[in-house]
Amino acid sequence: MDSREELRLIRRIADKDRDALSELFLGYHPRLFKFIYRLSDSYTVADELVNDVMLTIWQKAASFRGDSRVSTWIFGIAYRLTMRRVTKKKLQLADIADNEHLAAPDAADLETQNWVHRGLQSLPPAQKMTVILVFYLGLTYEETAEITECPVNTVKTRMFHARRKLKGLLEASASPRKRLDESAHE
Amino acid sequence: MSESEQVHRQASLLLPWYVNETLAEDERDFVRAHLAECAECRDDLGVLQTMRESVVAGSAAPIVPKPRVAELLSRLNGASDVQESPFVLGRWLIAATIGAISVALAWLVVEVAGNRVEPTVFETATSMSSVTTMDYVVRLDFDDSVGEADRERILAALGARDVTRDLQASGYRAVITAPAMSFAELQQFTERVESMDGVQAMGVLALQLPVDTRSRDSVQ
Repeated sequence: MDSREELRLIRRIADKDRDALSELFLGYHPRLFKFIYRLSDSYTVADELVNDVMLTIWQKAASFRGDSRVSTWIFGIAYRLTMRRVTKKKLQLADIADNEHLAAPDAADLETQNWVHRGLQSLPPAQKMTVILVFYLGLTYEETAEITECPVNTVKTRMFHARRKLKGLLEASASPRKRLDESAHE
Repeated sequence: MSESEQVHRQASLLLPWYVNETLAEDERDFVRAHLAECAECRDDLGVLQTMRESVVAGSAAPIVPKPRVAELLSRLNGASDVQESPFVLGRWLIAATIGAISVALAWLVVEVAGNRVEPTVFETATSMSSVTTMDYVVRLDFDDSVGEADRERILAALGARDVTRDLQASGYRAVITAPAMSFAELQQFTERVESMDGVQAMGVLALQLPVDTRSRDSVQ
C-alpha cells in the first residue's frame, strides 16, 4: 500500500467508510501489532491496543491534515496509546502467559539479542520507546520528535543515554565471560 | 567546549540515525568524516549496529494473531466522533474565558471593595517573583535490585528532602530544590535522573514556589 493509497483510505475513513477502515486495518495489523508488542512487551496489550488504535483513527481521521506521512500519524497514535498504558500499568516485563506466543528464537544470535533485550527492559520507558522508534520503525530524528511530541534535542539525548546504558551492560556482561575464557586457556 | 569536542558531540548524537540510514547527505558525510578519526565513536557505532540488528530481528518476535475485524467494526457503533468543529470549540473557549473573568471580577469586588486586603500588601506579596529556584515534588521509582543504602545514596545525591515512601506503589515521594526550569529543561532533568544507575523512573507531581513567610506574616 503506497502513501497515496493510504491517504485516500484516510479520506474515506473520515467519511465514515467502514470498508476503508477494514482495508487499512488488514494492511497495518501485523506491523502495528509487532510495534506495540515491542513497546509494551505484552502480547495481550498489543492485541488489545491494535484495535484501540484503529478506533482512534476512525474517530480522528477527519482531523488528519496530511502534514506528515499517514504511517507516522498512525504509529504516533499507537505510541501515545501504548505510552499511556505502559506508564499507567508499569508494564516492564512480559508476563509468563505472554511468552507462550513467542516464535522460536534464532539460536546463533540469541546471546547478543538477549543482552539487548535485557538492556532494553532496564531502560526508562521514554528511552526504550525512542530506541524502538528509531531502530524498529527506522524513523528520522524529526519524525521521532513528532511522534513523541518532544524537541529533537530530547530525542537525541534519549538515544545517547540509551546507548550509554546498553554499552555499559554489554561491557559488564562481556567481562565475566572474558575472564572465564582466559581462565580456560590457562 | 573546544571545536573538536563540539564536533564529537554533534557526530555522536547523530550516530543512531547514521545507523538507520535516515540522515541527510551532508549530515552523513559529517558523521563519516568524524568516524574516520574517532575511535570512541567507531566503538559506539558497533554497539548501535548490534542494537539495531537485535531490535529489528527481535529474539522474542511474537506470532501475530489474526486481526479481529468483526470486533473492531462492532465497536464503531458505540464510538462517537471526538472531533468537534472549530466553531463549537471556539464557543467553549469563549464561555470558559467569560466564566473565568466573571469569577475574577467577583473576587475583586468582594475582597478589594470590602477592604479586607490592602493593595500595597498585595503588591509586596507578589514582588517575590524573581525566584531562581523552585521546589519540585517528585516521585522516584527504583529498580527492584537496588538496596536501601543505595536508594538513600541516590536520594541524597539529588538533595531530596521530606522523603516519604509509598509502600503500596513501591515508590518514594520527595522534595527537590532546583533552578527554575522550562518544560524542555525539566524533561532533560528527568531524563538525567532516570539515566542514573538504579533509578527506574521519575515523575514530577507538583511545583512549589518558595514562600516568603515574612511577607505572609505582614498580610496577617
